[in-house]
Amino acid sequence: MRRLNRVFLYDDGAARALKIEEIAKYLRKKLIKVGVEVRGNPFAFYLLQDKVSDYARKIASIKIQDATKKWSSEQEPLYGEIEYEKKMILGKTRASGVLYDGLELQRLFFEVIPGRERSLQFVHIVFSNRLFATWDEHERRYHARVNLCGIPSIISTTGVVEAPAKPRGYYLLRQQYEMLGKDLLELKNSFKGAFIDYEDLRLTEVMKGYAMQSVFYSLVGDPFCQDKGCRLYNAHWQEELIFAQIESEYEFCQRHMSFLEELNEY
Amino acid sequence: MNKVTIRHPGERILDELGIPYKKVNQGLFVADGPHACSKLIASACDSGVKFANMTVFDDLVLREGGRVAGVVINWTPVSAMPREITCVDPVALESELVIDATGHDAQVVKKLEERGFIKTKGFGAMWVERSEDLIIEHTGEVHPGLIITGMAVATTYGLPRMGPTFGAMLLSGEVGAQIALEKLRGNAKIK
Amino acid sequence: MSTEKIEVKEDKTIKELVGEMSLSSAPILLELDGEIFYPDENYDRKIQAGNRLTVIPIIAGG
Repeated sequence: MRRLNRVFLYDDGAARALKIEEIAKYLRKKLIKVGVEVRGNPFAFYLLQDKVSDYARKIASIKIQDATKKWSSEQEPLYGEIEYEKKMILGKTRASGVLYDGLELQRLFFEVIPGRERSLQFVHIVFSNRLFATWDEHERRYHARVNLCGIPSIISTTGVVEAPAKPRGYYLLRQQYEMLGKDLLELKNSFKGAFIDYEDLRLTEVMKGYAMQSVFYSLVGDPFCQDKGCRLYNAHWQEELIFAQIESEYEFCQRHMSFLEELNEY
Repeated sequence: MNKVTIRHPGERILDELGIPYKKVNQGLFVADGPHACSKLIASACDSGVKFANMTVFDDLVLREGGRVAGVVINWTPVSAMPREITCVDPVALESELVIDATGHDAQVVKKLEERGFIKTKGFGAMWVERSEDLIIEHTGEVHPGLIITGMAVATTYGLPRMGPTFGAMLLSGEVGAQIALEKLRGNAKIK
Repeated sequence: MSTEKIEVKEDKTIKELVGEMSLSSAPILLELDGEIFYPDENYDRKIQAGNRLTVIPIIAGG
C-alpha cells in the first residue's frame, strides 16, 4: 500500500449541484492523516493567461466527432470550437455536450500539473462536466465513461448521467417518444429517481464514492471492487451505481475498510 | 407543426415579442406555431429587415483572404426553367456581414466548404438536455464575415440536435444579432 | 492490469522497453526515479540496466 501525501480537488466546470467542499470534508473524515485541498479550476490554478488560447485549441482538437472512429491528432478545430473551449477554461460557460477522447483530455490536465506534484503520493481529482470516452480496440468504438483514474483522475458529472445504462424500459420508450416527436423530458419524469440526472440532488453523495475510487487507485493501484455494495464497485448500470453509492447498507467492504484503517494508522 | 415547444429561458423572447404561450411543465412552454412565426416575421420587418422573397442562395461574395463579403442570389423561378436558358445573371448583394440561419443545411457554410475555406463536422445525434446550451455557446463568427446561428451551428460544429423544440433557435438568433452589432460597431459602421 | 515494478536488465530506450512488454498501445504512465511521464513522449529516452521503473496503468470506469 502506498503512502498518500495529499489529495487535491479541482472544479473544471462541474455540475452546479456538485458540492466539492462537501466531498473534501468527506475525504478528510475518511483519510484522517492525509491533507485535502480544494483548488478550484485547474487551468486558473496552474495556467498562465497567455497559454489559454493554446490549451483551448488543444482541447478543441480532441473532440470526438464519430464514436466509431478513433481520434486522430490531425483533427483541426474550427475557430468557433476554440472560442467555446476558451470560455470553458475561463469558467465563462458550463454548457457541456461535447464528447472528448478521455485519455487525451487526461494528458492535457497532466501537462498543467507541475512536475513536482506528479506523483502517486498526490491524488489529483478533477471534477468536470466534460463528457469523455475511451476507445475500445475490440469493439472499434468509443465508450462514454464516468471516471478515468490516472494523473490526474477525472470524474465527469455528465458521464455519471450518460455512461451507466438507464433501465431497459427507458430506452424502449425513448425510441417511441422520438418517433412520435414527444417531449423526452416527460419520459424522464416517469423514470424519476431510477437514474442520476443532471443537477440531481444525490450527485454529491454519488461523487464521494468516485473520489474514493481515485484515492484507492493511488493507494493500492486498483480503484474498483467486486462487491456490489462497496462504493468502489464499478457500476455499468444506473441501478448498480445508485445501490453502491446510496442504498447499500455499508460504504466499503471489509477488505477496503481494512485498507482505510491501515492508512489511518500510519 | 401547429404547436411549437420552447424551453426555458427561451420564453423571454416570446414575452418580448408578445407571443402568447402556455406553460406545460416546469421550464417547458408551448405556443401556436403560425402565431409565433408571424410575430417573429413582423418584428423583423418592424426592425428594418427586408425580405427578398422567392430567391435562392447561389454563391458567396468573397474578398481578400477569403473574407465573406456578401451573397449571390437568384430568383427561384429561374431554377425551374430549362438549364439551356437559365443564363440569367445572378444578383450579388454585398454586405459587411452574412448570417447563416439556413438551418440543418447550413447553405452558406457549405458553400464556403466547397471552396475549401472550412470543414464542417456534420450535425450529431440527439441529446436534448445538452444541445440547446451548446448551440447558443457556439453561435458566432465561424469565418471572417460569416456569423452562424441556429441549426447551422449544429451542422458546422457537429453538435447534438435537440429535436422539435425551438428555444435555442430564438436565443441563438439573439446572440448572433448581438455579435453582428458588436462587429459592425467595431467597424464604425453604425453608432 | 495493475501497477507493476520492473527492473531493467540491459540498456535500452523507452520505446524498446514498451515494445518488449507489448505495452505500446496500452494506456499507461511510467515512473522512474520519482518522475512520472507518458512513454510515447519519451520514446528516445535511454534507460540503463538496473533502473527500476513502475508501470502505472490508466484505468477507466463506468
